[in-house]
Amino acid sequence: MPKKKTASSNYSQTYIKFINLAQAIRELPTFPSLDATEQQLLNAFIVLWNQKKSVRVLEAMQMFPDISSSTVHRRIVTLRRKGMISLETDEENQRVKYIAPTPLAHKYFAKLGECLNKAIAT
Amino acid sequence: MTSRSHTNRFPTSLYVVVGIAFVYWLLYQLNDWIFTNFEVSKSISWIFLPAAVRIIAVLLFDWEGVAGLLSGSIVMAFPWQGDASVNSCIVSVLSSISPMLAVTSGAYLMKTKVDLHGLGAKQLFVFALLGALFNSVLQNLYFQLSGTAKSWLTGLVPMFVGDFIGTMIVLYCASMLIRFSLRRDARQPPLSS
Repeated sequence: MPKKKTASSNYSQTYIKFINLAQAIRELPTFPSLDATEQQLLNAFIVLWNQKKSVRVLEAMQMFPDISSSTVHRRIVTLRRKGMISLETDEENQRVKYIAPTPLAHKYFAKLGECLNKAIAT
Repeated sequence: MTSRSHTNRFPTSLYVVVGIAFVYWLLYQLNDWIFTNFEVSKSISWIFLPAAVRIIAVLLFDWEGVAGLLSGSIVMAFPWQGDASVNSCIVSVLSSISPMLAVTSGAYLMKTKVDLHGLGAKQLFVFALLGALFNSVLQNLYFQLSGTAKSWLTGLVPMFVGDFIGTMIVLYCASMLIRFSLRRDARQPPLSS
């Protein structure tokens, strides 16, 4: 009996491998996956960027009353790592850093806009 | 009991081997049809789609995957070699063994779990790279030793690039297919109670 169980567990092992492999294949990078907080930050930034306003890191950290400033800071770091934002140093004051969109962020919002248009059209 | 469990497993293993051999052959034909212009020689192309099957088959089925690849390679070697020559058999063995070496060494280096839990895009890239590396180096080493190739670069570089690009193309196509099917499933109306 134990041998028979081994044979069937081999099949289930293959199936588990298949699920994990499919998951890995599904996650191949196109746009970096953003969590809800990162999306919230990015949405707030795009509104300001669209109004030609600059966003300082310190301002951003106090911009969201429902998110702690340390969480905002961590998400700014991850957004930067994911290539969605860049940090630009102020020419006059080296300690001041501005959050700027990257070409990838522009592409991301263009894609979102495209999806929204499609959704409205259907 | 042991022999009975082996008898139960045998037909499934056979299906796996035949299935992999068929998919390998099918992608080879597709590659031959779509990317004829990218061919350097009959066995080397700047884009080689079946390379993806090598990695996926071994990741999922281990030695059964190797057996399937070997069967597929030998079947594919017949039409253009005219016979199952020793040369084509050795090349088939090398191309079937190389993904096993890639997966084993990759799993060791990246500490990948046996059930592939936690496998991510980065690991897939590494497996694809290692697969291309092992396959191109092993085959070209043999070509050099047997005197069938004139220089290292003319065979090694296109084979490495072709295997890697081919693997990534198939993986991205699979990725899009999975995303598309998930999106389609999500659009289905919920079951009424």
